[in-house]
Amino acid sequence: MNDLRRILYVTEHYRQLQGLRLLPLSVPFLLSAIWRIAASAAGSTLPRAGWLGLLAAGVAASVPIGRYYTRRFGRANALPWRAAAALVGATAAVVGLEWVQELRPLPVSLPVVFVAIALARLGLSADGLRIHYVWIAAACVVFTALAPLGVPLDVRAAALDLLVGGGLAAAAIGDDRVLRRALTRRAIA
Amino acid sequence: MTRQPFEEMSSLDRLVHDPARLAILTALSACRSADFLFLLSLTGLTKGNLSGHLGKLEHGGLVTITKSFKGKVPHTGISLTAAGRDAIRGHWKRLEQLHRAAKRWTPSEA
Repeated sequence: MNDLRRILYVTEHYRQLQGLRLLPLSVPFLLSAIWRIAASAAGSTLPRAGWLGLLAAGVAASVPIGRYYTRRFGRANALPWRAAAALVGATAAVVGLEWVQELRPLPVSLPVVFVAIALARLGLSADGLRIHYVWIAAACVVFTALAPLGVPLDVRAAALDLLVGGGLAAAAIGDDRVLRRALTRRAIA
Repeated sequence: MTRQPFEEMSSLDRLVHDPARLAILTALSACRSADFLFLLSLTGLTKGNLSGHLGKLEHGGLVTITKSFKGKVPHTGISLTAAGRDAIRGHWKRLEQLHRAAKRWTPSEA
């Protein structure tokens, strides 16, 4: 039964579990965080064109990584509506909450709180298979506490970059480990 | 007289209920289609074993197998037929019913 649950979950989430695809996307955020911390005295930020170039390179690099997973573990074409519905729903919620936040400023960031709840839920689903998302959610909660604690804006900006970059890297490595463990187990009966 | 849950178990469709085939059908029910390598990685079966099970499922009309070339590499795609989707859905429903019935069962019913 556990094996069948694993099979169902891994097949349904195969594309999301190809974690290393996210790893290059974490680089521009982590570099930006380091840049902000190092240059905080001068008040400079990573040049926008350079940052966007790194982000585009990260998106481009995820394509060959996806091909690697296909060569290594094969291909499973997801049911079309599932991933799209989740993505559209989450994006709409974040945009909506950002709008509410602008109308009525609150001490904590509502979109970050929403992301933290969504990540915690993901981490606790499927018997805690992707428990690393709970740690990322905890980091989001810590981040939301920075503003009420009176942490300066430039430090919060660096922390946000660190949160996004570190979160992407943790998700990438964690999901990849889950996929490898799930696909290299003993045979079914 | 109603049948005991354990008697019901013996009437499960063996084509679907075999562990390896149940794993294959469960995986295929969670996606549009998958290739041979994915099912191989997921189930841990040998190539020969997986081929044998897929042959039986195709013969039973539960899956369709399409063979093609992607460049110079042969590619085998597998998907559930409508009958296959109904069969696995029905099978899971039945297993859950049996699970519930077995939980309720007491020795005095025997």
